Amino acid sequence: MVEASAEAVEVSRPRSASGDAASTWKLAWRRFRRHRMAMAGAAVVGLFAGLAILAPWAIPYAPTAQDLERMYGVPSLRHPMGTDELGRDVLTRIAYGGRVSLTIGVLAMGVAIAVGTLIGAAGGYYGGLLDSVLMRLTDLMLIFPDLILLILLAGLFGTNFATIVAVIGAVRWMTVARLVRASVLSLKSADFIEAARALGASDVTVIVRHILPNSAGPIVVAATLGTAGAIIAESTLSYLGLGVQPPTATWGNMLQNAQDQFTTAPWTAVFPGLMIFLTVVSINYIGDGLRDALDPRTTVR
Amino acid sequence: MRRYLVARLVQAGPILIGITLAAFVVLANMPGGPLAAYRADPSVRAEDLQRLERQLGLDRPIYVRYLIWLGNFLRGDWGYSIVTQRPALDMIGERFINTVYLIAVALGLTLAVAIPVGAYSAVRQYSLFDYTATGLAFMGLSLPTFWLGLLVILLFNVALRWLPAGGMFTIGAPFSLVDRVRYLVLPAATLAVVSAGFYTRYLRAAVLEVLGQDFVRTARAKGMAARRVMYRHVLKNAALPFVTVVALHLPELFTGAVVVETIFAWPGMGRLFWESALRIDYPVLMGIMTFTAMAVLGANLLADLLYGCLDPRIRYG
Repeated sequence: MVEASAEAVEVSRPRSASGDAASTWKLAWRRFRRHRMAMAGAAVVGLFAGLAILAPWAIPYAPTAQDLERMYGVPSLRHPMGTDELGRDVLTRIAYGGRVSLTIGVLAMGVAIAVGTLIGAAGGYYGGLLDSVLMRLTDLMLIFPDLILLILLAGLFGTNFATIVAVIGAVRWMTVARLVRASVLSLKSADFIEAARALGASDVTVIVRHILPNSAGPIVVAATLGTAGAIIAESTLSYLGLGVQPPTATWGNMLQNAQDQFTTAPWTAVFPGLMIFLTVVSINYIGDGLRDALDPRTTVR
Repeated sequence: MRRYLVARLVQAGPILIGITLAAFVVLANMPGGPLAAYRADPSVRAEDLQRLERQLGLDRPIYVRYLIWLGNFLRGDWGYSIVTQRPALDMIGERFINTVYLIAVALGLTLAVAIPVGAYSAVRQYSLFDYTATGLAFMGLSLPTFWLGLLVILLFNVALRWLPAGGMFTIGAPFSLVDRVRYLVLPAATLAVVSAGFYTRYLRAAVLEVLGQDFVRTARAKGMAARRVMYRHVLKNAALPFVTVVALHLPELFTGAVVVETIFAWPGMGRLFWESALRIDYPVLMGIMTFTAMAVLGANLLADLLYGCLDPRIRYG
């Protein structure tokens, strides 16, 4: 039995995963490169991610270092984005804040993909009552205002890094679940799936090795756009005081902090918000480019 | 039609019970339990806590507590806020009106921008207007609401001194429409921007799709004036999916309202929810959750009914 399933994987590999996959992705990359806004978006995200990753080595200040002689400093050569109410360098905090905000965005989307894939695959593959219940749940979650759930869960279960990731992931899995379910439904009676099953491949093998690789395109697009949504969700929570707590900087809690002083020191609010906006716009453009690149049939929609 | 309506309303029952049960279990199992606020207070003695627990029925099994809550809820007793001691239903009711007011004006603004822009964008596809509009819509979609709110306050309140930054009306002044409108402009416009981006993109796509249909070509071929084709055939058909999208997008507007109400100190339901979450005021949280669930299901049903009214091909048996 074990041998048979191992063989099934071997036999089908050229068909589904790696065989023509390399050229598919190469073609997609070629199409993606032609999407100018998407390339610009990728450059911006790359720059911000680079700044966040290299912050401890590239920046002379510490994110929590106070300089009480230079409070509310106007942007200058020494402090290009000014200083805040404790004389902390805003650019430094933005770089370190990016580490937290971007990481939470990506990890939360990872959680959402895992949950969505599990629910979509289970519903689509096994069908019946399980499918109806799961899809009802998906519909319900989809129409329920997500911020209400985010506020409730973050308010109740606390505001540390792991909880925020879990909470955001828990309210953003629905699109992925629908996509995965649709592709499982369309493929589960295909000949090559029948063949894999006849060779004794388990349900998990069939789904993971044979079905999911064929629906990677839409999932990648949804994951990209979802990351932008997750970054907005994280910063909104932080802004409402229900995200990662100060003194750790995140783009959202920098804005919350700026709330009390932004009329006198507007740079403390403008720059963190600008980072969120530019990141989200860029990721959305990347998602747009990926959609065009991965699905040649896409029209204007 | 009536049977369809009844069936839908009957279906809504179990869904609402599911949602409220989930919310109830989550609230009951939060760290520290519903009395977390008292437990953290060193001046509250252990025996007082036990007495409170008995009084509030917290020593009983959770399903009993849920059934008691449900019974009270249906009779209009939504419990008392643990912060203000006032009935939760009253608190939510008065805040709800303000939220509806804000959302209705914002939705009006949104549609007033999105419908003409989206439709014109589609008719002049790939023109300068189209590129500008689609580009702006894309940016609008990506704007974090709270940042936009701070920026408009900086511009219109701090720099230009045109409009007030928060509240609903000048406190102490007699009622005046002008005053009300001045306080409404910034929050409503902020809330409208993000949705306007979404609706513009959607309507553009919907109009483009209709423009490609055979009956549009036929209408043009028989010599119908372009304007007439647009109003009689294209917009009418594009409106169908659009109405559904608007109704389904209402909860999203409420999400935006939570943030906008917080920035502009607007005394609405969203702000109340946020305040209650910070203080873990669970009767109010529970009430707003349930209320939102009902509103969401209502909007959903409304979308389907409107679709049935507008599209004669659909019959609800």
